[in-house]
Amino acid sequence: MSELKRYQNPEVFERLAMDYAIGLMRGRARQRFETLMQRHLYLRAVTQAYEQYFAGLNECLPEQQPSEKVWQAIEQQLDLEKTSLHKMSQKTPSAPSPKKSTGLFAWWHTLGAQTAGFVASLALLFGIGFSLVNSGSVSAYVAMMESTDTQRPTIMATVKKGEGVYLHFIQQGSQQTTIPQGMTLRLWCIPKEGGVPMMMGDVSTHDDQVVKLDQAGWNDLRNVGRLAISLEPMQTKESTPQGDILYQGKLMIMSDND
Amino acid sequence: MNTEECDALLIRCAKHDSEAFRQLYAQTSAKMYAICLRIVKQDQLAEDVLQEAYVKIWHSADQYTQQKGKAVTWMATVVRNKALDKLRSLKIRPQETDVSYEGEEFASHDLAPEQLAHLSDDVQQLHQCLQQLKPIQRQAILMAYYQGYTHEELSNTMQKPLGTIKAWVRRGLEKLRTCLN
Repeated sequence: MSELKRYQNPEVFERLAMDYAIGLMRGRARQRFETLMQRHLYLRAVTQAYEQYFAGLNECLPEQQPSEKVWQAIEQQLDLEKTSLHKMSQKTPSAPSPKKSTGLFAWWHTLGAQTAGFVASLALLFGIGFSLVNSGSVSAYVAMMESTDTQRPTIMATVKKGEGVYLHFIQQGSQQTTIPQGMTLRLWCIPKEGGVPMMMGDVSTHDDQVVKLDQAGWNDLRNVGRLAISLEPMQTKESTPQGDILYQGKLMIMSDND
Repeated sequence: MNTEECDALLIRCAKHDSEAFRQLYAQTSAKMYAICLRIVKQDQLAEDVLQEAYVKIWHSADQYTQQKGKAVTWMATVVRNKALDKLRSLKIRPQETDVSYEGEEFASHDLAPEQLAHLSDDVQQLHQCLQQLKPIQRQAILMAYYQGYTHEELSNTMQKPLGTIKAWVRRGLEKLRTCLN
């Protein structure tokens, strides 16, 4: 029986979810289970339910104050990251209200009807179906990158395995992004757990362009939480964003096998 | 700790509200530190874990929704998983320090009505379900949860064969599952 089929047995699900929630699952078994939870909505939901149940055990723990240096260290670490992403927090557009997760459609519902229709068309154009996960691998990601300036277009970034990052400008507003002379738009990957952003390449305002991505870059995407585009001087190739963040959006797996 | 206030603070953290994060830390860090300390058993290690966990909470706050339950519960899961990760990364289990096991004693014994009244409904139900287990099953499960013991470590600590420990835990969890559902 394949590993996925084994985990699709509700009895097995429940037992393994409890083992994980209690903390008995270790090593490779734990890593495999966490990987499967990323892709299997039901497994994730059952495990989270048991984590919720058992978390009640913490309610009776007596509190103990950590030393002040812990908060100082947290502040320092986040400030350091803030220096690297120095305009990111100020430019963060309001996130859409979180919807009940249904795998593929979690982000779909946040789009307007016109944009959603466009996304479907683009998916078909690129030959991306809604069941791309095969043998446990991801074949595509997508990010809807929005600007704090509602007059600027939204950029849909589709990342296809073996190809690269396709950028499409959805002209919802009346204003195109203008780039001052000597400046360029630069695409970044922001790690899920924080840390220094990774530069992907320079982009223009031309529609339907692609930023190439090698196998190593594709593999790194599993640790990426957001994509962002900043405005940078053309001649410089700083390792962290220095200019204004114009667009950013959450990177999501475009398909789900749930 | 005001749990509803913590829910609101965590939601604000998702919008990069650093003041909300500071208030959230002030309200929750003592509880989260207690969770870390019981698993890794040493102050410095626990503080390292606490720092890593709160940084992760800051970066992952947008993954929390109220549909997932209380914010403190969500945070406790993050903190606990970080502590278990730290434990896994260490070659040997840290030596125990002067850590009170009041949490385990509480969960093991009957409670007076006035003690139960202070607990949330979920915890009261969990407590009642735990009382239905055999003492040895309950002890094994609580040691696994509070202190992060594996089956092998439980076997060494309780000086019972590994198969016996696995059977106790399995039957205990089955009973809990039936009771909680």
